Amino acid sequence: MGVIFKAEEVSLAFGGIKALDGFSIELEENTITALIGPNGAGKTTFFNVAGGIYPPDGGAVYFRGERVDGLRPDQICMKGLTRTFQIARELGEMSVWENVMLAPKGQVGERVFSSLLRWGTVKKQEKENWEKAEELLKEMGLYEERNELCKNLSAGKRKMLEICRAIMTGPELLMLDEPTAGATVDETKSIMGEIERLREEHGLTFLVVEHKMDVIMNLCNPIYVMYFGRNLAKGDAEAIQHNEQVREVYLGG
Amino acid sequence: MEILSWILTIATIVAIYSIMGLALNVHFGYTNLPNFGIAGFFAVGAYASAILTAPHRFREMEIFAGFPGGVAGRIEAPFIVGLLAAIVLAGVVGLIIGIPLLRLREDYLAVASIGIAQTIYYVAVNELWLTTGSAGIRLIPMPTGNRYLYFLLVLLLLAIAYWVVNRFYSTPIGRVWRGVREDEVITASLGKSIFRSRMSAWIAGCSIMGAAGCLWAHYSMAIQPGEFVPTTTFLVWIFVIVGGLRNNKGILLGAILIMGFFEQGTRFLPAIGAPYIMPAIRLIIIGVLLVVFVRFRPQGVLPERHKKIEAHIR
Repeated sequence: MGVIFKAEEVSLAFGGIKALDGFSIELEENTITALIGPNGAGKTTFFNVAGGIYPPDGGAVYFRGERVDGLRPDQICMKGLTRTFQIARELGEMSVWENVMLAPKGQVGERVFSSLLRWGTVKKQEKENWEKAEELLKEMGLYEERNELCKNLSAGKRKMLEICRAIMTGPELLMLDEPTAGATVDETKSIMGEIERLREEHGLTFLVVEHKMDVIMNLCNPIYVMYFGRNLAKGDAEAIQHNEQVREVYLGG
Repeated sequence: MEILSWILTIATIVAIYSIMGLALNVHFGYTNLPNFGIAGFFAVGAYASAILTAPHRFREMEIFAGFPGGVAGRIEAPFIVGLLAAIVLAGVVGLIIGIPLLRLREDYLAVASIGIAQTIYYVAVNELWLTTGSAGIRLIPMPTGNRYLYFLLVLLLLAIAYWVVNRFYSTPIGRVWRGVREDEVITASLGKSIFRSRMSAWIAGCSIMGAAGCLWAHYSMAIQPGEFVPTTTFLVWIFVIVGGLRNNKGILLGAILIMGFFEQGTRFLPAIGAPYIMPAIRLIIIGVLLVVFVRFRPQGVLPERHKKIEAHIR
């Protein structure tokens, strides 16, 4: 068990607003860590920094001991860190199967000449990737919709699809921004089940932003609490629930 | 016999324009790169092949243009060399132009690409040593020596272009391109380099446009800069939008409808009233058609068809 991901004193300001103000976090391999905090605390901004959308103003982000802040999103994904988005963003005019099959890395057919000339290899890869995708879609209850266009999916299904797509990149660390937002009770259960299964069977590491406290408390350890772009607390579910400051700013009463 | 010859003319032009339409589909339909500089890449292909293949007899034009030591007409290469040169050169020009252009957002890209095509037009007008300017290049050989056979050759290349563009659609590269079209941030977060993906689509499309230019040069056997003006670009856009952007069959249909019936089919109709009325009416009809389609059926006659996974994996 080592540290797979580390952010040190990360800060980022938009104009005069400090969205991140020296935020630090460490993720242990093969754990599910939660990141909670009131709206506007900077959780999504932190994801955007870690995912390469914004370079931070200060501080450093390490993945597997290598500095990754300042890299582009595609470079960060290729290193093994995949993130999802708070508001499910889908490739609407593409079908569900195309969405998930877009994600796998190292597809030979992504190069112009290979796409035209290396028929056998491309076909073989497509079959292999679909086998994985098929299994995943079945587990997540999306298999029936495999030929649907994504713009026709419900909000919950879109969220599921986004997680499927992220998993298909074959990441080591998955950063999920509110994975169960808009999902029904059943969908929430299957998303949680999938996260736990991936951690156990495939040794993945997770960082989860979530507002549903039952999800967080059952699934995640440790829990980081963020407030105004800074660290407020860190601990297991028990400790966080009894932390006076956290109760005051976030959990309420 | 005359009517047959006329139909052949139209069919050849429709086929050559179809190839450009397919290329625009790669740019705009697949990847959301609004290329309004089609005429420029068409010109690069046409001039590349013309300069390489035009015969020595043509030297008189160079002398006339004041450049007796010009490049054109000195090489007399066979057609296939001209075709390959057209494809490669259009791709290389696309690459060089693409480096600054593809960093732009799509609306700016559209404006900048018109400018690029105009630049290429002015190169053709002014670089007398290479192109003999407005005098144009003449006596470009038609490789089959026969218009009927040449039409078959154009059809063959259209079939190849159609196959290539369809293959792009359904292989991983087409998925990446369409991913870029739908949402760049998502696609980047899935590990795909946006710039590289846009560039590969851009170069592929430019090369296909270059091939169409080559076919045009050897069909008309004489080219001059005035043929590579924005009207050429807009005609391609119109039939692609009417026929069905994102659907290659729709593009062929649009080419036949717009280029065949409206643009070419009415060209030889008897003049009604003043001689300039018919051509003007023709353009007005095409313009109105475009507005109607963009407003009421933006997906065109034939919309994008999504393949089922079962058909894909078979």
